[in-house]
Amino acid sequence: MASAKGIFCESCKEKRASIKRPKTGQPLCQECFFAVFEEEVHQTITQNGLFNKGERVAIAASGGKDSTVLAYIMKLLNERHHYGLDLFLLSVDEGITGYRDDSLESVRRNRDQMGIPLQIVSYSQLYGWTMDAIVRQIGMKNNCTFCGVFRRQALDRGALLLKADKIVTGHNADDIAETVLMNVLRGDIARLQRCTHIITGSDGAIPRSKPFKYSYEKEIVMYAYFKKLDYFSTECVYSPNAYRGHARTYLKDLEAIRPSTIIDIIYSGDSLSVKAEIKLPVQGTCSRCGYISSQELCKACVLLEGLNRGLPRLGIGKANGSNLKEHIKKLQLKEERERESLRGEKEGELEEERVKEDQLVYGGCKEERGLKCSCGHKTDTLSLQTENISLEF
Amino acid sequence: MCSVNEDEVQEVISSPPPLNLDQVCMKCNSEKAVTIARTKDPFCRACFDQYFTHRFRSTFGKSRLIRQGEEVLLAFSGGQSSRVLLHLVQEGLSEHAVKRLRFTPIIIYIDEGVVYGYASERQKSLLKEVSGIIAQTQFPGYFTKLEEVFTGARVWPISDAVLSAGSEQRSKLAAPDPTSSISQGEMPGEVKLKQLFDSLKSSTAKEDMLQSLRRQLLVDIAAKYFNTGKILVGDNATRLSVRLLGNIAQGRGGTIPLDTGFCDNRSDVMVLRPLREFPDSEIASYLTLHQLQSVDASSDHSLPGSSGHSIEGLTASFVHSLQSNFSSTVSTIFRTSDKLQLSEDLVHSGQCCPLCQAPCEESFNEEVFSHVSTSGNNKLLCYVSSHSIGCRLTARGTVHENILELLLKDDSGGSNEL
Repeated sequence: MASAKGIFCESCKEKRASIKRPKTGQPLCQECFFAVFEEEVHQTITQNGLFNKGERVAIAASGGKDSTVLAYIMKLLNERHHYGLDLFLLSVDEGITGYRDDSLESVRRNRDQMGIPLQIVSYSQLYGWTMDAIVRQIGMKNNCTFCGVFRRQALDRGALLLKADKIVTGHNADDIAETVLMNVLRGDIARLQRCTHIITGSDGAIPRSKPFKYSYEKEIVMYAYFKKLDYFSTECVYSPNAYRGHARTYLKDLEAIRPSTIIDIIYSGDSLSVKAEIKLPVQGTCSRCGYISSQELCKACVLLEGLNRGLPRLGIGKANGSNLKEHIKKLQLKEERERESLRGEKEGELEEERVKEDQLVYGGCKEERGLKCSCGHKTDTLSLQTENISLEF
Repeated sequence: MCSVNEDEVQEVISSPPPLNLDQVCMKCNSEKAVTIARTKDPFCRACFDQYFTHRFRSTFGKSRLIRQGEEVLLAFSGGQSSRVLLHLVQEGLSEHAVKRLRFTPIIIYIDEGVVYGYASERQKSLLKEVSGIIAQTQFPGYFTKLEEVFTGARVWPISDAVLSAGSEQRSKLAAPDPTSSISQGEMPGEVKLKQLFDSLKSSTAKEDMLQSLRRQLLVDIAAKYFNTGKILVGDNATRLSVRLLGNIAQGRGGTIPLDTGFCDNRSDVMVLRPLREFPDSEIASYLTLHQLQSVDASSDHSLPGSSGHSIEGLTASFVHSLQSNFSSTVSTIFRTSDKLQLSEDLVHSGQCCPLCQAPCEESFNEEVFSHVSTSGNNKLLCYVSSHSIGCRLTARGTVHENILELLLKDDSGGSNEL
């Protein structure tokens, strides 16, 4: 952001440049920077056909910089270019004290400042667990797995409540480039293939798109700063994640060498092609909750089951893909054995455990204990949940 | 943004176990282990050799690309990997080999001294060392210079280098003697090459250019002098992992299968990578166990006149540091390349980048990807619109756009005549 004295804006050639654009290195004045940034997002939206007229669009809002700028820009472009969209803010309350409660406050302020209605869905309503409670169970490691898996479903459920046709998220170019690198480092070919798609989940689930696919994080921060947008900028208290951190550092170093690298990585990701003979997981639906899943049970249900049975590590770690089922079986066997050995001594406790097992809680429908959980039918679940959720308009 | 599976990575891997001298070979269960391969398996000397040779052979065998008695060009830089490659081929062709390899190798060395800015003494002594190694193998050996990519891709028998190093006078007798030219001042090709590299500002661009030129020269030589369709190179798993990540970072994702696969068939002459299964550590073990000397011509030197890190250099140190903490890093990255193919768009594009010769897309959406988009300023990027994106990025680093154009024109003209 070197203020270049005496250098003129490369776009209007009238005003003095006040910004060196991170993506291109061009000197620009503030107004032209805004114009270029907004125009790029507009181009991204129209060229990729992200929306149709009259659609209801839920903006996933965390209160952070990306989603705040996204909400602002969506509203701006919607009015400027007559997209004809109904916009909503959609927030997920993971139940993280000292982080989400504060950031939700800034989402509420955005709601008032921008005049976009807000819907909040919470983990405790949907799953019966807050992240705070989960972290007490599992510890600081691996808790991001829960949060990430649960959030995905939570957003979809929130969007269903809003009767939204589309969800937009604030993932920026840096995030996507980083994910490409992560998937290469992990050898996750299925995700590598789809992680740069601008629209995902068009089969079955509510389509999601990323209007900031080509927007640099640095420019988003700049935009928010110069527009004096109200956002929340604290790291999640549970977030430290070593491995992703490596990829992040590497990406930032690359950007320093050649700023276009971020977009080049996305271009690479888009032009990758997976061999036809490579087996990719087939998308089906979860037999328990009906959500899209490549396994018999979706990840959220496996994780929930683990939590509710006091086996929080179920579904975490090496067991992925095809051997997940075996993993669960193994765990069950192990549990069985442990029980055998305990049988003699602790008859009473065993009984208690059995009762606990019967009380599996899914999708927040605790009321239905012992009966077949209604999550099998999405609408039923939702009608059940809406009672607890107030629309905040 | 939280991701879901990072824990998998964290749990699978721990740092490689140090070699415990009490360990017994995991294969024969009788001999003492002397080295660790495949991240954690202890091997005795004999079993390691067997494993190594078998893997080398099977990489060849699977491809079924080399026919009986075929002449094959083997690119020898003197570095560790190509030293191992040379040794493996030598062993495979020797009398006592269990199942002899069936091809006939011709060894070629490229003198890249001009690019690295070596003094002529250093260039000569390197050439002498390399020649010595090649001469020991009894295979026909030749050498060339990188600048030959502009001047008809000539080669000289390695014996010339040995002789001329012995006595300066004799070299003048042979008509197109290359070693003498070093002292006779710069030839046009040399000037061109220097100009080209001076005009590339970033070290990333220089390294990328070096790779393209090297490849082009090898292909030209193979076709022109030896009439062979195959070149063996010593790229190992570690280097290919670095290249894969580096290529992704340079927008070359689409051509990863060509750049890191066993067979690179972008041109009529195929480039084969028979060492692609072996990481650095196993290459080093092989060298030590066989007491092979390598000549490090380039690895200890960065290209002169470039500022800061290159993408490739940064990627290499990133992969190495990850590898030391998570020992399956290289194999994981590397396996990714096995699962990729050239996209349909590229296969049918019919367009080739004149620089790296990889197929490239006809319609590249600059508006969205670009680095550009400020209206009226679209010239920042591609002035050479038919280049692959990776080469456009490299070309963008040139000070004088015309130099690159000029060189390319000369060069493609030359190779078309073949």
